Amino acid sequence: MMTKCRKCKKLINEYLNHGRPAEMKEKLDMHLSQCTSCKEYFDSMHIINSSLKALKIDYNINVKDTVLKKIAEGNPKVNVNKKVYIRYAATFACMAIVIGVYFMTGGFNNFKKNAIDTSTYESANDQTQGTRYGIASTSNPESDEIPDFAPNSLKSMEYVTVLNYVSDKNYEEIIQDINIASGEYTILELNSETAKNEISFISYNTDTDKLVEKLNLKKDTNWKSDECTTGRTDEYVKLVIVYSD
Amino acid sequence: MDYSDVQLINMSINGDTDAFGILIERYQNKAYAISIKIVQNHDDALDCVQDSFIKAFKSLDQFNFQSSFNTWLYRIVTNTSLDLLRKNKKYQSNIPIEKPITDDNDDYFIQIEDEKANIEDIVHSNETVKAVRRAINELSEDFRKVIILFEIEQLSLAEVSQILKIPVGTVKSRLFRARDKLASILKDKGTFL
Repeated sequence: MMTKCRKCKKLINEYLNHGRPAEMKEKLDMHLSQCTSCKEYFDSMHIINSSLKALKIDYNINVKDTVLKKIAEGNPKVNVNKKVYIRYAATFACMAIVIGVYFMTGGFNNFKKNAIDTSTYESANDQTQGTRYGIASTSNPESDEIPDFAPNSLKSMEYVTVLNYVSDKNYEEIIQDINIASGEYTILELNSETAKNEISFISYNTDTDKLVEKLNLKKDTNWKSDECTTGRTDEYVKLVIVYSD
Repeated sequence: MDYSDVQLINMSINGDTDAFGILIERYQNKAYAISIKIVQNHDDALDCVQDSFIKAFKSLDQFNFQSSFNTWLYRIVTNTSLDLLRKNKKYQSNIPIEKPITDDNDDYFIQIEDEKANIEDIVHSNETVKAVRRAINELSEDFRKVIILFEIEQLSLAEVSQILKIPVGTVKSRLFRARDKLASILKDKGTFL
């Protein structure tokens, strides 16, 4: 039954697609009168087409009241206002994520570094003792307060153990090494006072030995060493590095 | 006053649910006709139509006015019905889609157009129509959609194209292949000699 006369099949389908217009039927009839297989195909398509159209039913339903009731119950007003609220919420969520990521990835440290460049270190002890217990100042040299934007861990860190080291490297080299080390270890409050050939930063006490090794630091013999550093329970230590010119 | 669909949509967006009610009245029967041919179950079809109108209402502010409201709505109806069909896996329903259905409350009723029954002798056989209807259920989803929308619901090629989001040429080629497939199925079932 299936004709191989593809051109005719296409024409038959076009005829069906266009609502079986009489003028197309006339063209088809010329070919169908000469081609048995196409005539069979046409007849089967005609039956299918007519049967499908017979399946069309005109319905009369009423869902209006139910739909409007559901809309009133669950969705008092679905419109632009809702969209605006969603936008506000999305913006707020994005800001919260950005801020969260900023602090979690150490971005805060860089911010603090810049802030502290002009700060001073206020020693609370005699520096000649070698180990200084002091207030790690932040952006305001006149104030002991940790700014509001500082993480809670830093807010609680007022006094830290200070360890003194020397390095054979120059400023650029030691900064580069610290930058590399910051990928692996926590480096807080980096403070580079080039005029004094001194760089300081705060890190976790437990990372001290690894950082000293990583940065190839030597104990500053001008200062009395703090033998108990690694055993201390302080969470943070401040490393002060005197570098060469 | 006889509002246009666009006017009613804008009024609905501004919270006028009565305006949306008019849209429902305009298109609920056609929406139901499409849905019931897909899900082949009256209750499911009613649910689909209701859900579709609620979805449409919720998404009215996303309606871009580039297509007509009814084709946009019928797309939602088609997709909602197919989703339900997939979910319920009620491909083999025993409820004939041409069977008139009435409700105790007369909330809805279904009529068969008398003139539609007046087809040529060979098609007059109710058995042939039933066989064709059964054959539709054996078609793939893509073929069924074009057959239902174009052949049964007699929407235009352009409307089917918009509803299914496929080019008119694709609608035509699917119709071509769907008809071929139907003929093949009917032949295998012995409907055609």
